Amino acid sequence: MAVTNRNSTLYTKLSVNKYLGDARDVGGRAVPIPFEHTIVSGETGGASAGVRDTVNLCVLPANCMVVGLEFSSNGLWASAGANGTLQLGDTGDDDRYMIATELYTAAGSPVGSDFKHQGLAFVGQNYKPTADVIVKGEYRVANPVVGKIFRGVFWVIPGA
Amino acid sequence: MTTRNAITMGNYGASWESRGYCGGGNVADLINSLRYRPAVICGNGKNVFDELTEVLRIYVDPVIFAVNDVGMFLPKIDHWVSLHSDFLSAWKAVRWLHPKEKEDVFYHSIDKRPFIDYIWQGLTPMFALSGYFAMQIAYIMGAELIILCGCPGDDAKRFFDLIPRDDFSYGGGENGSDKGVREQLINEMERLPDFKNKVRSLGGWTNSFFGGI
Repeated sequence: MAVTNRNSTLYTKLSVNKYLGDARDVGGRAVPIPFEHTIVSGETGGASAGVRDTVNLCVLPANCMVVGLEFSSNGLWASAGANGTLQLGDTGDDDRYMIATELYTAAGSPVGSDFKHQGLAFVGQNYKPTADVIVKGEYRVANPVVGKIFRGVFWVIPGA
Repeated sequence: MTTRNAITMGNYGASWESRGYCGGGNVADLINSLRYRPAVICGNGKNVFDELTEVLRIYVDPVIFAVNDVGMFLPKIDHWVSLHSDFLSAWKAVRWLHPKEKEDVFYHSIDKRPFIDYIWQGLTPMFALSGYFAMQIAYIMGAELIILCGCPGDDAKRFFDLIPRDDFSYGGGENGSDKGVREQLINEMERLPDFKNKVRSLGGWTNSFFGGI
């Protein structure tokens, strides 16, 4: 059986068809877009859509390509007994960037008592919004604890 | 369901900006409406009534902001503020059960409700505690001096508690929740030194941080 070598879409575009690429194709200048939120008294994470509070975190500019996400928190829920979740998305897909993630103190933290999520969800990787889009955090299942903090950074490559 | 703005939203989508803050809602007419007037923020701390009495000995007719539960019992209030929009309805009902002279009280929160006059939608950034939220509103409204009563910012019990809470110390504890509350306040006051200069407190950690009257 013969082996087959195939070209990726990007390889075909740039190297075979010799199309002009833009900064997003070749991994040009990456721009950090940070976000940070301190939980406010009264923020709610419920079981159904009508009682899940959201927080506007940052704006991803139109036509950029999302290439990375770093996320850290100091445990938004007090313990495993109150394992609420946080997800990051936008109006088109409420968990486009980070799927529902348990963020209590002992949730498999790779950095001691602070939880750190690494990586961008598959559907968010290389996503190119066609208009400015607000990234929203959404709490589910249980209320986050007032005063706890989550922060992180999106890495995007501008379209031009 | 409520949508809040993280500090990193900046002024995106805001309909007003003032004194380092921005947001939406129906509050634009309030900006600078308290210019040259002192404001008193009455929180739930155990000494709130004594501290307010002390303030009223010195200042004539300050603008009084009640925060959360204590608004049910203060003799006179001008504004009633809470981050818990739905609770305000019940608290308001209790106050109305008490025999008082006719009064004009304005209700402030973050969600649209029929009983709330001013909705601070998308306030950026927003303080984590209702007392600091009220202080922030007074600052945006232009108060010349903002005096905290019953807002100690530490583990003192509330005026209705038998013992202090064991799950939260309003910034005075060692867990991440308390540290976050205090860190947010300190960072905001470093960002807006004019704000800090206008605030005083009669007790607790906030007295040592802001100074007294």
